[in-house]
Amino acid sequence: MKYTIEFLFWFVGLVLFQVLLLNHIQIAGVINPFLYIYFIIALPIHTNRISLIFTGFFLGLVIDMFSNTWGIHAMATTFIAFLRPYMFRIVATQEELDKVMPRFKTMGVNYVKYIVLMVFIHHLLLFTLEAFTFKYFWVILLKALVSALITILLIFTLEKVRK
Amino acid sequence: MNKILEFFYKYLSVIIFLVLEILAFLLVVNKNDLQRSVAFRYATTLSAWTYEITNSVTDYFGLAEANEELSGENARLLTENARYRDLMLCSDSLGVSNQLGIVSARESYLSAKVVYNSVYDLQNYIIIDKGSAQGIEEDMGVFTPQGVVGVVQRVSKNYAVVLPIINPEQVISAKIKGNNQLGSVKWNGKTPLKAKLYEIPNHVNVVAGDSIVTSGFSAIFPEGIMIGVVDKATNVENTMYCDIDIALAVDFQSLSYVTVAAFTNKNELLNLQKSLGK
Repeated sequence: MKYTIEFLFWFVGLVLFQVLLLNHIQIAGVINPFLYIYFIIALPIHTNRISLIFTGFFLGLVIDMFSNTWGIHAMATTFIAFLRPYMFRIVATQEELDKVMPRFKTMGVNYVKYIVLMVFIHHLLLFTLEAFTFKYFWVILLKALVSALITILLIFTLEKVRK
Repeated sequence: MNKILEFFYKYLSVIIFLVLEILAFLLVVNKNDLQRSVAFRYATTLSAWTYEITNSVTDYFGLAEANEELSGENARLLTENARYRDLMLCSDSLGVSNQLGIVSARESYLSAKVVYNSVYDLQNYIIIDKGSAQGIEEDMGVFTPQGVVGVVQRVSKNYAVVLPIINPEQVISAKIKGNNQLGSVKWNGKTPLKAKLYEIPNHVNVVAGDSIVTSGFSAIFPEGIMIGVVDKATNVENTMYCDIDIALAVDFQSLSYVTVAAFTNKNELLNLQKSLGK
């Protein structure tokens, strides 16, 4: 119950931060951070798959609603929500998986790997869907890389503030 | 039992994932303009391609080739004919304009093969195997030696969608051959054999058997292409216009090759009309 309320606040806070502030940041037409996926990243390690996927879809849809990009965020976010358990299996050790929350404090370097993978896959999928063509693949890749870097930096800033 | 449940549980999450992704994708291609147009382009190409394959199975090889040759030849002759006609109309006694090369044909013709054709729907449409790459553009007139088929509505690279007369959204500017009375032809939505002619005033004497041809005013069709013949004309009391049924000249059930008319100065004419606020 404690977690539920805490995460509810996180959800509202991240969505508002994303749609009110970050959506309006577009440096050089390339950098476009999407911090809101931190919500999917920060959910407890043993959240069951189905609620993860629904949460991802719902979160994406809410962002879509506010940024008038019907379905684009929903697709990308659902996808990383689905991938999340497999990510843990790839990057984390069994010992780390027994923890409750995925945090830098408890997982160290593996947490960085986890975040980089999640953010990059999400951004790449998102920008591809936005362009809806493979013609500009290199531009999309560059955009995804730079934006993912900024998002990751923002996530670590958030982690610092959070503790 | 537990294992089975566990397996199903795992499987269920994948199913839910796929369903939600498909839902999101449908949103993407239906609600966003750019993505919708891209999806439509692919869908048109794909459907035209499949229709073409099924058609080629039913076509006799030699027959198709011969038809294509004839149809191409026909288009070439029509173009040549148009050029000569314009030359004749514009020639002056000194032939100066001819020598200077001022006169060029106003219209040219392309031949195309029908790869898809619907006749019994309400929103009938036709797909032909020539597109923007071959010089087809929107609003070009499509006809056969029998008469008018329709107007090009949408173009992809190698295919084009034609809106035929037998679609309720199609209106074609027409006139009665002989007295040049202008009207417009529109489908009645019932049978692919019949249509209606509107805007002919009551005082005009229309009898069964009169030919209805294109007016040539809209730079879509050349003048005088057959649309159909009057089937039945009745004067309706207390209205200004006659009620005229026409029998269409083209047999839409057996379309195979069509000719597309391209006007060189069409945009100029359209811009001029637009500037008048029409």
